[in-house]
Amino acid sequence: MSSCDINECEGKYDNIVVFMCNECGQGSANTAGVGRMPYDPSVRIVRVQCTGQIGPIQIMDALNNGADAVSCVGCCIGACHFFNGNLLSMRRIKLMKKMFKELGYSDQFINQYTSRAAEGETAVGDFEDIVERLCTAITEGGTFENEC
Amino acid sequence: MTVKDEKIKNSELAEGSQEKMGFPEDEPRIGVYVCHCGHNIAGTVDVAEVAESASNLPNVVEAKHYMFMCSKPGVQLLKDDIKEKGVNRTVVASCSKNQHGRTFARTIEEMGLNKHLHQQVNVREFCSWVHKKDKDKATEKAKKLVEAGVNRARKLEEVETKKIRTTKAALVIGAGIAGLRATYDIAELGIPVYLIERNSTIGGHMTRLNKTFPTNECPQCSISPLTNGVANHPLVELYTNAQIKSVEGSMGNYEIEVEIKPRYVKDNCTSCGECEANCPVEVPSEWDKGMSTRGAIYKAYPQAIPATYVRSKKDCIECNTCINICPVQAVDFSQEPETKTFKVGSIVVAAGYEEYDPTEIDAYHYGQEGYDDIITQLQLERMLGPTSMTGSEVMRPSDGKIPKKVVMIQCVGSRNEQVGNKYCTGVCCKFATKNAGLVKDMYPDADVTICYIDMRTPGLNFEEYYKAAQEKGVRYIRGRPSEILKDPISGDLSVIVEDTLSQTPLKLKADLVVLSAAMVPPEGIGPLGSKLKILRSKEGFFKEFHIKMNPTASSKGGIYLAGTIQGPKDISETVAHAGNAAALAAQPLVKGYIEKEMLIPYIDYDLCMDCGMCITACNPAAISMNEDGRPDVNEVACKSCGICMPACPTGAIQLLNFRDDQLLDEIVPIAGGGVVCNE
Repeated sequence: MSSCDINECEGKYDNIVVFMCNECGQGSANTAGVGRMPYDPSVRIVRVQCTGQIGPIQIMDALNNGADAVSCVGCCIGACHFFNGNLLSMRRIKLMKKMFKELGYSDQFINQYTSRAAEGETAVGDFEDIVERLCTAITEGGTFENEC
Repeated sequence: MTVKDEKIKNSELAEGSQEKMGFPEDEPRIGVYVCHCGHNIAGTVDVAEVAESASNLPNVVEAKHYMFMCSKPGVQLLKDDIKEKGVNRTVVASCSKNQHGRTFARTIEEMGLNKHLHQQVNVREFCSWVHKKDKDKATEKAKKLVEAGVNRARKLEEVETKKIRTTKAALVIGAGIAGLRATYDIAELGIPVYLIERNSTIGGHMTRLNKTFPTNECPQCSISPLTNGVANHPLVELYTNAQIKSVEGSMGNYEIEVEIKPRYVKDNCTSCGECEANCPVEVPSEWDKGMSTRGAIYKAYPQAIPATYVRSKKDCIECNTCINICPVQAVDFSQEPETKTFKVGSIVVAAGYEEYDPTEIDAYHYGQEGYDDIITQLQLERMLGPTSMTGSEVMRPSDGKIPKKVVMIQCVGSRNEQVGNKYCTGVCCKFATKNAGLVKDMYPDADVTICYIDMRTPGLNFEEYYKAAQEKGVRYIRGRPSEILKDPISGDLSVIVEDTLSQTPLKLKADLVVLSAAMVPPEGIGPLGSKLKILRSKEGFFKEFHIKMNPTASSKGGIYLAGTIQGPKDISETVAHAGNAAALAAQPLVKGYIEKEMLIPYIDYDLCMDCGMCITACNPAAISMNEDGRPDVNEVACKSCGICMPACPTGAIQLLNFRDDQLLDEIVPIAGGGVVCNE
């Protein structure tokens, strides 16, 4: 990850869509809320059953409707409440990253994360990483910014 | 008026109230309620502004903000609007779905609406509490979250809750300590249990042990009340020499075909032993791990249950001696295998483990010609056992002498990436300590050495047990032996190891080498798994539903895991694990029904092209091809995860209330609204 000053790209993004699974994803974001752990207000959470439910359609829908970055947050590896939904999603995102790279866009604005319901820090850490990676994408170019 | 009376009154009012007021039924009429939660939300988010912006959204008939939505007057707001304004979908922007989502869902259910028509928007944990410093942005975010919630509510569909009747019977696979415990616990709840065992006797590995740690208790004494209790229980049907042939059905109603191989000895056998005494065949006993011999007609061990003798067809030379000598004419060679079908509601899998076979580790020469004095811990247990051929003495298999130097090697087959087992079995340190201590007790002048990588003795009493062994004079050397060498002239064995604590290479002379072999999944776990359609972990054991919260449920509803089939465990853990599996398996059977919300995927057969991708993706195996060659969703087995949705290349399979278009509606405002690229 190249170093990037987050302040530099502040204001250049305001819509980050995060799909969080009903189990550890939602749990960790709730724990972060209860612990009053601040994060970027651009991060908005969509509740889904499992990250394995999120396909390219949802990700492209989000990007198509103005999202600057899209992420999936699921349970830890081996702790998916539906067995391997998080792994499927991880694989899918990896393939999508590859596709974006081949199309000439940055691969830093779609990501998959894991979090732990008991630890709000994990969710906040994920959100911070999303923002950091998005900033890298913005500074290096390759976002959808100038496409339309 | 009691709460119950009030509920009845409300539901009476609700009945037909929508039509009476003249509101069209199919049009969504959404009520939006923004909660202040004291200052928790209102302190950061401008709730009035959020409610105001929500009131301008299409289909919203009512948008309010209130101090505490979860309070009685707050809930009354919902009730009044449903009654008076014809609200048929509610959006409450307050706390998380887990906290008060259910409160509001229950409220609208009381008013005669389906509880799935409530949409909870979390503006406290996801917004006000985490964006305290930026009030404007938090308000903006809350507005968008509420808009997304309204969009989502617009298309919400009713979800039925079905009651599925269950068959009041259970099947337990495997009659080791886990299977016996589960069987007994289920049967004591008044549920008939079919117990299936692959071998000719019940009791499993525990009956083979000599002593159990940390109390050095006789395992036969601890397990025999259970084996007898199960074998004589009026509600338990025990089948030995039996194997699963096929499994059909889903949670609550399974149909299982079991093949039962004949014993060739009728039940009137008195267990006198005349047949085995006169049998001319002598083969190594599998039950004794080759440390004794048995005839072609045999009983695995004296206390075996069932006590009936059994004939091994493959070893028998059909000399008919046993038929002629049996005083009660119990031997019958004409018996045929039979197939039985059982209808059960739950299945408990307790197929146990197998001791790792160290032959593949070449450096340890286990099982090789001329290396007879290298044995495994289970073989040592059999030698020390009260009914052993050696009379409970430790003897070298090569010459029958009592060994003066015993070396035990830990982590054989576990914590070894070369053989593909990364995991720690977790009990080898304890049983090696136990056996070393026992050998030292029997022969105080013998040298007993344990070569270990790490000594793992967690839990109550085990550290003391380890200390006690050290005090007895058992020598512990930290290092993994690289090889066992044999002197070509004298034939003596020596173990090459580096003591990593003092960094000295050692060559330990050994009369007997004992390998602490790992616990590995039992033979035949693969075919069993595919018949049951449950998933396995990468180590080969059956995978639990959730490693922390649901360690006994399998990937498929109605199938539970007990004991070491889920992963290595010691006996106390196995008993606790099996008890939990039994409790879970008995739950739906005692109740008589399963309540299931029909939040399941529906297939658009016009779009479906029968590729079967959803079938492969479905973890609980809830989707299968029907007779017409089209995929079908088993509504009972489905776990509502939606993993099938992205797997479908045509979007034909859609999870109710999580359809692509419903998610899109929710995504649009959250992603910033308006379509950016129209071209």
